[in-house]
Amino acid sequence: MNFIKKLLLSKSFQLILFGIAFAFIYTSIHSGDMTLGYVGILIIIADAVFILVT
Amino acid sequence: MTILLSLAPILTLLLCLIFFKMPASKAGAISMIFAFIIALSFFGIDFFGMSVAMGKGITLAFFVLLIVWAALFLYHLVDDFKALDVINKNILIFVKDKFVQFLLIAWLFSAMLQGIAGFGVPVIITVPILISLGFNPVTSVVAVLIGHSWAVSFGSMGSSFYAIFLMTGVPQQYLGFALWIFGTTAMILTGLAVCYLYGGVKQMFKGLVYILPVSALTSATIFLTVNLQLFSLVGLSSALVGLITMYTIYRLSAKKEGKDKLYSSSLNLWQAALPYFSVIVLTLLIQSLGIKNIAALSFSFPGFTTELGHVVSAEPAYSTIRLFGHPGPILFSAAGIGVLTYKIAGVWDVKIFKGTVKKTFARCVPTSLSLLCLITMAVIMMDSGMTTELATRTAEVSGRFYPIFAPLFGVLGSFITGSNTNSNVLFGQFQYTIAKNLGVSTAVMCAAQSIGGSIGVSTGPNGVLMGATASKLVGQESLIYKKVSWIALLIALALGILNFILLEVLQLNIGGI
Repeated sequence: MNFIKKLLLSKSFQLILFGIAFAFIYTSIHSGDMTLGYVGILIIIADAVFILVT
Repeated sequence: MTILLSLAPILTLLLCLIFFKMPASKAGAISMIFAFIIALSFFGIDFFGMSVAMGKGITLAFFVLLIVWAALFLYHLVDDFKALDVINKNILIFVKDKFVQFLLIAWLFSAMLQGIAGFGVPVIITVPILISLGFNPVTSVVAVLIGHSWAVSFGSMGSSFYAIFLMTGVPQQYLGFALWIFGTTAMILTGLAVCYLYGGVKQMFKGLVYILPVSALTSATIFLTVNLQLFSLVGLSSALVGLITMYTIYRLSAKKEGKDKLYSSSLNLWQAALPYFSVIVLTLLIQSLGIKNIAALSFSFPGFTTELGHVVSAEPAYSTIRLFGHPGPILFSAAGIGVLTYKIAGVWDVKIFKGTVKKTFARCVPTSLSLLCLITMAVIMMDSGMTTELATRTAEVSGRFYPIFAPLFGVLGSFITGSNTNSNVLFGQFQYTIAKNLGVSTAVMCAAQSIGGSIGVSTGPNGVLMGATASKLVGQESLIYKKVSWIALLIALALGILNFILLEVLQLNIGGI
């Protein structure tokens, strides 16, 4: 649990999360199935919250 | 109501930065969440449109971040191998007067770099030099941000200039002449602002000795290059002429103290400055060889329409990164040349190099998060129609007095996107339409937009964050914003008044209505 908390609050991981979100969004925009894209949006908003609490 | 909602993300950002003194990453995160909620709730963008906007935001941030990472790597490399020390000591030998050092570097040397590379490169290169010469970090960042902003519209090999031309279709010659008027005025105003930052109003009078003759010759150079239609070289040539003029005036007025001897340590000045020279030479070489468009990476995004009818066009090649046209690869290549030079000079040390990489990483990660949040917020605002709403309502309210506010839209565009080019893309057509409706010169109005965008770059997230990173002020960006915002707004307002006088009082008609 402590490890996950540390990971989520690490700036490098927050940067990686943006990359993952982009991969999800870009794939879904071009595949036509938006499920992954919505997950991407959620990741970005969650990432913004992590940045706020770091 | 909608105008207030459109303003909300920007006001939130300013409040968080200036009043609550939050780091840019947190202020950016809050503003992005605000923009996200408002766009979904009040501007009728659906989740598909939102994912497109967010995807665009991340690709645009990637474009900028590549420059930040490369520029910071180059800076740390030069600094860690003590090359920056050699450069600084030689500047002190050539220019002993602290005031002249400050004005020369913040106002002209940075503008020359803007003429070549742009995209924040002048900030990341000149701020560390000023700080290591003993100037206050916040003052150094603000002075460079304001100081080089007069050259942005003609800088980056003319990219902003071409953007406003492409967006409006106003003939380049007319746009160039109108920009010549605004550019000269902006140059004088930014020069005075740099003097003020150095030591208050008293220094502004002292600075006139340099500012007036330098501006006169620079203005003549802009006029000549515009006349010769060498638009991509206007920024570089005018700043270079300014730099030479100012140094000549200084040498003529300075007391002669015998022949100056260059300072060398384990590196001589040539070896120390070679990476920076390489940036200039590589950029010019790529321009002249015409290989700028070879090997490019771009992203495609579909278009969409919001429920309120705001149309977002499809982008087949968004945020294109060209291997030979993007400053990132050029800066990395210059760093490579630096590594080779240090190896040949015998100062190479793997341990120092590892430290360089570590430092670059540690400083770039927080900056990257801030930029990602801010740029994503900007694209959400653009694609949801919030920015257009803001501009349209202000134009309706201001009527015939609109020319006063025209440059402020340029500032707003650059404040949101961090780029004069993007600001011109965002508001170029809008300013053109208003000029047509008011029955005034479209060339003058579009030039006012571009010069506003030029000055506004000093308030943009890229420049401020690059300045904060270069001056080790990450997390204290509010100190920079506090100083830079009001100076930029005052200059933009002065340019707006000039625009009003040209269009409404003198009814200047460059190139027809």
